[in-house]
Amino acid sequence: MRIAVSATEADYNVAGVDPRFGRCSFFIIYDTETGEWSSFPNPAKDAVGGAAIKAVEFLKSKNVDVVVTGNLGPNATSSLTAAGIRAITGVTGKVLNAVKRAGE
Amino acid sequence: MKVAIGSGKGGTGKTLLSTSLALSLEYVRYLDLDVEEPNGHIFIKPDIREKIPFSIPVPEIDFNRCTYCGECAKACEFGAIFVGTNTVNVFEKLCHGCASCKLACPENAISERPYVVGEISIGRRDKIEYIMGYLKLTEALSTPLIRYIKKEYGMVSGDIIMDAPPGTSCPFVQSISDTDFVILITEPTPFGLSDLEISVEIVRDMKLKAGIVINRADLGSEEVKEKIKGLGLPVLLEIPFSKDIAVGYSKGIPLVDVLPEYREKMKKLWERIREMV
Repeated sequence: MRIAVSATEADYNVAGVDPRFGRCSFFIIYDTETGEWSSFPNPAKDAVGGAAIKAVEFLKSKNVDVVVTGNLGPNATSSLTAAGIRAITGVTGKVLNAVKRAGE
Repeated sequence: MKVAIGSGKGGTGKTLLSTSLALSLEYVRYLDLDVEEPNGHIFIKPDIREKIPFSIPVPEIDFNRCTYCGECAKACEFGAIFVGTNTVNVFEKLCHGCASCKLACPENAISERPYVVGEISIGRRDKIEYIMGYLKLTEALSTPLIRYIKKEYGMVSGDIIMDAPPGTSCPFVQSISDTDFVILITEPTPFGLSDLEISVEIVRDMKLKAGIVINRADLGSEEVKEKIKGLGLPVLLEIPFSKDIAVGYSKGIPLVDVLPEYREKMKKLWERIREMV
């Protein structure tokens, strides 16, 4: 399972969960099978419009199964549903803890 | 002669000036292009005889043909299409109606359907022909509606006054394009000046003739006023900061009814612009 977290920083050791989804700074992806961490700047961060949709497109291209974030708008929700990506919202705190809890 | 009235900063008097000009001239067409909150009708008080819905073409997916290849989403400049694993989401509010997705689809699975985003009202009062664009609540794209009103109702000969939306982005640019003259109305405050400077830059870039009207001219500082005068555009008129004008405006009474001497000033302003065009 591949878990993506909207993150405030690139380094998963220190990053916090960014409450914004579409315009978060980074996406940190954790693969529960390989134990591998990867980090990407959010390509939709400065989009003129439809940031969430572009962000979901990016996560879909990274074969993400679950998204962990603070808040999702209607465009994000419907795009995630269409992509078959599950979402866990209302998450705050450190990315490390968020991933640990999501994996359980 | 086509004249657009713009401002950059909001609330500096675009509608005050537009309606006063319209009510002082003979046989004029008034286009309210401030489609997000049109309010010229409050002062002109036209009899509306017709309301026409305005729609843009948005994509409709034929799921019998769609293979979810994603070419449409790639072609869309505005992120209005999301292709999922076995469905396609179309976000009408982001769509500009450009049909790129339709052209990009290798399966010919995209057709277009109308999506209503606003309404055009047509009316008249005495010698003013009144046309107003209205963008529906929750819709974000005013430019297609402004473009359509200008094409459909702004191409006639005779005098046309266009009340432009505030700001200096696409809706403003669309409103002032292909006009003979742009009046930039401002107030002598740092905020007014800042937005005016951007507006002047745009007007210059678009190679349009323009002039400045200073509203609430006795407000703010002389320093700012000097800077406005130093922008290289003629200052055509100064309107004072007057409680009578403000009270009248709040009740829907146009400037030229509060201070009838402004009828002559408006006529002179128009004639001066005609000489400059």
